[in-house]
Amino acid sequence: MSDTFRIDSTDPTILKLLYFFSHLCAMDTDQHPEVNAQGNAIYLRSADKTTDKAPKIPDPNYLPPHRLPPPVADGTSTPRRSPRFHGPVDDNPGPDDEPLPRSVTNLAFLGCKGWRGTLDDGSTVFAKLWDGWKMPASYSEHEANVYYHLRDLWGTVVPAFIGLGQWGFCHILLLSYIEVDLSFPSLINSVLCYTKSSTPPK
Amino acid sequence: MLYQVKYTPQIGRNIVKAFKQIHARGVLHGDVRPENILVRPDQSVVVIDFEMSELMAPREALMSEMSEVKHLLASFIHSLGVYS
Repeated sequence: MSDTFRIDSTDPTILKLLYFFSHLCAMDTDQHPEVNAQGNAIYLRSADKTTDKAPKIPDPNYLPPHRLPPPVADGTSTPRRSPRFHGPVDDNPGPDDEPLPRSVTNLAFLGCKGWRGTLDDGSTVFAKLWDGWKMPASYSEHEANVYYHLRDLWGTVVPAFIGLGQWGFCHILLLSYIEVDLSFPSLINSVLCYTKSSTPPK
Repeated sequence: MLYQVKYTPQIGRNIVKAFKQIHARGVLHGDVRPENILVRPDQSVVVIDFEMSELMAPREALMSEMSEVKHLLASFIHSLGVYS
């Protein structure tokens, strides 16, 4: 094959060069294994005769999971909800998946989860907040269900249920605010009074 | 700050009545504590915090909770030194 072109040829074609190198390989019968940097022979393993690791063609019918849009930091909205309980978006979202339809301002901490706030119509409400990072929405939804079950007692034995929703990263439950006169305290105040006092009050 | 306690038997009756009304609707409060009972100036009672409550509770559980309410009242009255 090397006769196909002269060794001093200055214009060989690719095909002629391939023939030439093939001829050289055929003439050389010595072993020339692939070696690494340390001079050790490298042996390539044959791939398994399976298709498990073969690249797959994407399913044309595959729909990517629906994800919530990133929060918009406009400075006016409440902090975004913790991503911990960001599940897939339900087609029929529950009441707690929706933002609170009414704005609550002037929140004052009352203790534990309780806050006193003012609605957009100026009325005072009791707001119970659950940390959305630690507590799933089922807690607030359960309590709202119970209040709804007791709706004929609203305003008498139990507070009136106003709303349920999401407020920032918290689940919020709005109830009517119960005015408790400090001169006639609730039982807890009475117990605290007795605890702090050296003698039982008359 | 110390408050002047003016416990009256009417408050106790209202507390029992409130829980009876709640139990009549099959709701077990589940967390009977003084913190969850508010008393209005007119001595009416409001029960709050139904986070631990249970709907469609069995009758035995409701009766047990009512005993718990009465025990709470008794211990409270005892703490005030009111025995009438």
